[in-house]
Amino acid sequence: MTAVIPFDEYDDERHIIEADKVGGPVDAPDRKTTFADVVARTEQRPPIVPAVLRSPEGRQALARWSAGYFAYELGKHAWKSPKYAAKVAWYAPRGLWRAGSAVLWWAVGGRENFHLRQEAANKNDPHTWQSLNRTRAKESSARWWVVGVGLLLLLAALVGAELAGMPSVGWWAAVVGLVLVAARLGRPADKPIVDWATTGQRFTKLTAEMVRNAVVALSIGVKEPGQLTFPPPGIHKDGPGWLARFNLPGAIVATQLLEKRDNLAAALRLPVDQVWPEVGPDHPGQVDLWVGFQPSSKMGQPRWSLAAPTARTSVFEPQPFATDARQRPLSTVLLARNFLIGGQPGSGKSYAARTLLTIAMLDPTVELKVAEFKGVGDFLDVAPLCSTYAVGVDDDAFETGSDIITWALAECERRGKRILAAKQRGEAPEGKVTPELAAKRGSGLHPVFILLDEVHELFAAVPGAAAACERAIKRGRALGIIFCLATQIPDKDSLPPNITRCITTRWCLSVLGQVENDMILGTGAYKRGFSGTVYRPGIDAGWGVMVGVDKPGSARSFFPTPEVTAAIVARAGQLRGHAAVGEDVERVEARDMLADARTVLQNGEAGLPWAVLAERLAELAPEFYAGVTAEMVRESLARYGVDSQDVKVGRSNLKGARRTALEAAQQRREIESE
Amino acid sequence: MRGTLTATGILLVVLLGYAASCIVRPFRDCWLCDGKGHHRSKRKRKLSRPCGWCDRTGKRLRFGRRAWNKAREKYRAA
Repeated sequence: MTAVIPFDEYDDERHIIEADKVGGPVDAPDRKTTFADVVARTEQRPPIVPAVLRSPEGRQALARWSAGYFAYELGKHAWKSPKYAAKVAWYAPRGLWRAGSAVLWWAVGGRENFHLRQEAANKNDPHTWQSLNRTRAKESSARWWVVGVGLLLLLAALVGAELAGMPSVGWWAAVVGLVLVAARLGRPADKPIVDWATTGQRFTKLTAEMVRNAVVALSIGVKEPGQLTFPPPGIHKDGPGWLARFNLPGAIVATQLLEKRDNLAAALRLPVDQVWPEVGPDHPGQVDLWVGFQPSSKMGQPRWSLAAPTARTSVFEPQPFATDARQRPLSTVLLARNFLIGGQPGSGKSYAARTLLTIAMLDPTVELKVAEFKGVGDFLDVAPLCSTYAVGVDDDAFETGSDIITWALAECERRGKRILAAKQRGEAPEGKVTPELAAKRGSGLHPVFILLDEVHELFAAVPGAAAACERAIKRGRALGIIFCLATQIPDKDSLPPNITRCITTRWCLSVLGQVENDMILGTGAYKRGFSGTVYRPGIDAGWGVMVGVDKPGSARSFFPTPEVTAAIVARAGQLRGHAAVGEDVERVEARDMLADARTVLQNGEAGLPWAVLAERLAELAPEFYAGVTAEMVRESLARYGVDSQDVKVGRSNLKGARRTALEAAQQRREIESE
Repeated sequence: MRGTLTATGILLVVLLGYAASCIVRPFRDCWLCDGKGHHRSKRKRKLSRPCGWCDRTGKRLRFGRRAWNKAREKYRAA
């Protein structure tokens, strides 16, 4: 008897056992390509016209190069022409003899069964020889006719030319041509008449075997040379070097290899600056290893497109300022960026800064303010185009330098209001300076490029300049004020870390050690393979590592000749009508914050919280204290020994400055000055 | 002097010509039968006697070629 168990949906004891699927593929089945797939393809199609022919500069450069090259070749062969004449005189009779005997030999059919006839003669076999000779005679019987007709035609042509009145030049040309042809026929096959000298540096070809062995030797997890795969097109020439794109096996990422660039160069037996690995485009385990024909320090540099006589830039668009190891130009947008250039003396800082200045210079809407505290006048030629220019390490230069920063702060304040107004009018949709706004006359929103060379001198000489500069950098970024700082000592005393932190684009030229490198590029940069220590000062001037651009990596600033530099400055002057854009800064008296703090403290107040103090200071002297925050006031007054203490406001205690502390600080200062 | 030179030149040309003929036309007509391969009979309608010198071919190797072949044979044998 079987008990029928009634079906109950909610029976807790019941559970369904699904059949396991055994066997069969787990992978999704391969799908045939449909037309929709084909239509949706977005692969890159390489441009048909070569890159050099697409731009007028490229075409001009190509034409110029070709003209120069052919002129050189012509001169070289003209110089060697006596040698060629001697060779021709030697070879031409031989050629004539060869040509004549070849025709004769062909006409008599000398080549027909020649060896058979000789064999018959060797064996003293007249029967065979005679029959072979008959064959030869039969086959070549018509050839004399051909030769005869040819000679007749030639004769007719010569007579015709003479009758038609060919000038003697023509006859000479014909003779020369004939002699040259004869010489060509008469020369031995391996001795060309014209010398072909090849002048080029030799370079051992980069092979897959070299790459594989080198990567295995790095011991980053690749065990067998065969584990590396090279996707098509394999190792090929790319610019002035070889590009090997390969996939690392398994889960090994390319950055592991990048960290060991020195070891890779050692394994390839090449200088470090000839080996340039980077992460490949397809996945993180792909490496693009570029190996130059020569070390990059020995390579020249392509022409700078900004050196063209018609150059005109825009700070809103990417403009070239440097080249990478593969000689490709690197571009950057100047606007809404700030730049920090660091490096030891002789690393090419000033010129690196100048490349950026050049971009700004060739945009006639940009106002330039340059202060250099090296004191040698690196930018003296640009001075007439700058609304403010300071040079030197004296008090006057430092005051101008700090005035620039103060002006920038005040300008930020003014610009904020202007942008707000523009946004309300609908002219600045993102609350940022647009190219239209910048170009509009009287908008007061034109871009400003502020270059401070050897800025550590300023920060050391003028207390508070660093903090003000930091404020200006932070606020000015969105308001069209571009800061470019160049320094050789990036430590925390001469260049506060806060400044470094708010500058995104950093360019580390030759530095001595890891510490300086990381101070400029950010902590861990050295370990990630971004290091300016590989460059030698002087020899590798202009070379550096750049972060904060599209592709972090090595960058070499353009370094045109002094004539080209002068031409660029002249072009900028022409664009700007040989006048500076914008107004010079007004000399703002440096204010004594301690005295001001005591001034704004009203009678009966025992102290003020920092925020209130900052507000009152800004009211007292807006041209100097614009944008000052509670934090900054606290830091500035801390230098005078004013502690942050509790100040009673209403019923709560807030941190601030007490009158007693301010008075004590004042007394201390008076005693010190006595 | 001039005569000697001319004589030498002529001799050289003749020698070269003979060498060339040894290559392109190594056989000459038999001197005994005038290249006919058989001796002419005195009487008519009588079969002529074959030439034994040239073995009825009417052709004989030139002296130069014969010497050359002999020399080559000797060289090969050595």
